[in-house]
Amino acid sequence: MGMWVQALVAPLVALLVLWRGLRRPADREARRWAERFRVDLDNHVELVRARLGRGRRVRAMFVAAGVVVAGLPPYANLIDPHRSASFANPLVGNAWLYSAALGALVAEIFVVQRPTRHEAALQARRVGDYVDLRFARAIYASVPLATAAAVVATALEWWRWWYGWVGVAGTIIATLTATVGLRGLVNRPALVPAGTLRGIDDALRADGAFRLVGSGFALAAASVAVTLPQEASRGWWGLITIAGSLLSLFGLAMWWTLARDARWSVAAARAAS
Amino acid sequence: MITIAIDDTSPVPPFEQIRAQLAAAIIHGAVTSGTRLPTVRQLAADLDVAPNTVARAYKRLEASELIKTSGRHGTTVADTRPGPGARAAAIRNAASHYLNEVLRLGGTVEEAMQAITSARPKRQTAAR
Repeated sequence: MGMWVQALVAPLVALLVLWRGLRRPADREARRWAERFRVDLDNHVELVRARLGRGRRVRAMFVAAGVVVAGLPPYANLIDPHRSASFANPLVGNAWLYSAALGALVAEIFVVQRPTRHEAALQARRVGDYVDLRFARAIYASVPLATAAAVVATALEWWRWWYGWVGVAGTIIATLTATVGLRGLVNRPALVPAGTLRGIDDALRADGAFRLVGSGFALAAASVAVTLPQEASRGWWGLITIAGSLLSLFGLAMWWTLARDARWSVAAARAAS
Repeated sequence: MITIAIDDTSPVPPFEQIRAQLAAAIIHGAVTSGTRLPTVRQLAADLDVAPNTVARAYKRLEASELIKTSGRHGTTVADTRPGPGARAAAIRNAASHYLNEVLRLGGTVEEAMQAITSARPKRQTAAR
């Protein structure tokens, strides 16, 4: 009975994620979003709801798929308990984080947006206009950090050497999704050269940037945690295991904060730069 | 906010329209020295033209010393005091626009020159 319950958790969580993700944002959500990014919605509420809803759907589908993959070990336990251990590894366990980062990337780079007329503002768009660059730099810094930890872990625990390098791959994927996504977002054509709609366009880019960086940060943190040596951590070295868990939790908390609560003004960021 | 626009009905090629408007904005001080301009990709995407079109315009502006490009800092407006090259380029550009407009109205080159000549004494009188 317990095995069935375990096997059903992942699909149920995936369904919940899909249910939440496929819902169109409500009016008050759009207004709260406008308040976070300090833009005036004017009469563009429907446009904002449609764009936010589209991004939400794409991200939800990717996360749901990742959750299903992460639920493979208990499912394999039902079919063949002897083989379930082969699915219990950091690649499968963190599948939902990988897919979340990919989903955030897809949600931004496949936005089809054509300008309404052949007119452009003479204003350069930079990544720093849309997101605090320190978060992006933290993701980039995770690659050398994870590599160093993987080298140490491989030396200490040669029998599980590939765990560390899966972690390094995770930080590289986090870096790539953040970099490609942020570039695509910045280079996306502007809807209009000026006015309220331009402000909304900028705010939508900032929202996408925060979600990209948030999911990348969570993946990078979890990947670094995976590279830390586990079984060799006896005595005081056991703190390493605790540090790894805390790092993963910190990554998730940052993702939540950046995606849902962060406040940002593109105009203020431009003025400050 | 300074904007540039492309007129699809104009006989002037798009890259020349971009170049001319940017040059005018820089020379008249609407865009100040050191201002960072959009990248080629961004401006091309916003204007819905090919990147090569914008790249060509930027190259000509750089040759006229109105903008400068450095890899890390992108494209920025150069010192707004135009050198002799930029001044001559701006005059040629203004003449080119005027002539194109006269031709579009069905006039001839001679009529265009005549209009300039007849406009000249009035300006000099007004200046006194």
